[in-house]
Amino acid sequence: MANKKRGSSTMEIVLCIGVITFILFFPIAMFSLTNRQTTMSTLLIHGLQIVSLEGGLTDRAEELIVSNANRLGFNRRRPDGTNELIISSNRDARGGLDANRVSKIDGDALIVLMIQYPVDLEARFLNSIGNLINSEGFMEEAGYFTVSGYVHSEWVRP
Amino acid sequence: MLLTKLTKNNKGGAVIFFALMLTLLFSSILIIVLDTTHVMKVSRDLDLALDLATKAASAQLNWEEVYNGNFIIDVNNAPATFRDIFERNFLRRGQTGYVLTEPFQWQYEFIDPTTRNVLTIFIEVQNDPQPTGFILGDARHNAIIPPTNNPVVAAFGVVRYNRVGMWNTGPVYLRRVAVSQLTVN
Repeated sequence: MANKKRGSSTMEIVLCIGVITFILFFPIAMFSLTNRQTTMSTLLIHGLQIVSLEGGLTDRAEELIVSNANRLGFNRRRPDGTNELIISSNRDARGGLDANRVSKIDGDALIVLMIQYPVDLEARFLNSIGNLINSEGFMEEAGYFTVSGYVHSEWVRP
Repeated sequence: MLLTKLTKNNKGGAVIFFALMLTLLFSSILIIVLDTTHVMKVSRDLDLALDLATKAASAQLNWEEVYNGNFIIDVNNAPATFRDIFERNFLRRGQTGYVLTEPFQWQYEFIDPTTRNVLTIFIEVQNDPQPTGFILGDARHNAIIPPTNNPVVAAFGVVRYNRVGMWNTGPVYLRRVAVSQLTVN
């Protein structure tokens, strides 16, 4: 402490190590987060095509979306063994609810699909930094990667 | 002069100088990385919205012509459907700041008042076969649509994205094309 020169060198080293660590790892972490969001978008596009063909979120559509998600790396499991992916739709026909499916010739053939996946603490931290300059964050709901889209039904009632 | 003075100073001047430089570097890196990831996000949202909107527009069958045995796209309904699905996917969910400024049936423009980013959309419905393809867009921004045998909806979107940051290199143009043919089943 008595030696001012040594003290300032230590400060410089501490500052440099901090900033260099940031410069090296921040872009990698950010691009990793963006890549994960892009993968979620890919999953959404596939999901929208499936629900469009099925006329709603059927059991078969859900199975295909979950299988796609597992293939893309979104395969975290709950303690009971089910996937942590949350899939929801305005045309939820799971469990054999065929009345909720919409045909392409029906008046309101619009289908909304939303896919959510829990994020880790690292992604929450990076998202908070991203929100400092962008009004658009990576996640729409706290704690989840959320992607959603609208599509018209292509299903025809037999 | 200042640099020499600071670095030879034992009273901590060099530390302040380095701290200032590193702060500048820190903020520059932060802005560049966040801006680049935002460009990627806009590009991805535009891609997804154009794909889904052209698909929905190409499914708009002209039922009056079906009775005559012709399967063609309804040129009145298709642009409206395109715009509805496009706005829902691009504007309402992903990019919420854009405001419509040039409302036309086949070309329209949105602007984000905060960032001054401009989005221009061109759309065309071709019910006749296009053996040589066609060009969509204007003199400055255009895209070549490949040859088609069936009725087709083609859309071309351009975003003039103004980058933020200290080293402003001018706007970036993000161009995306989507084509969808009529499917009858």
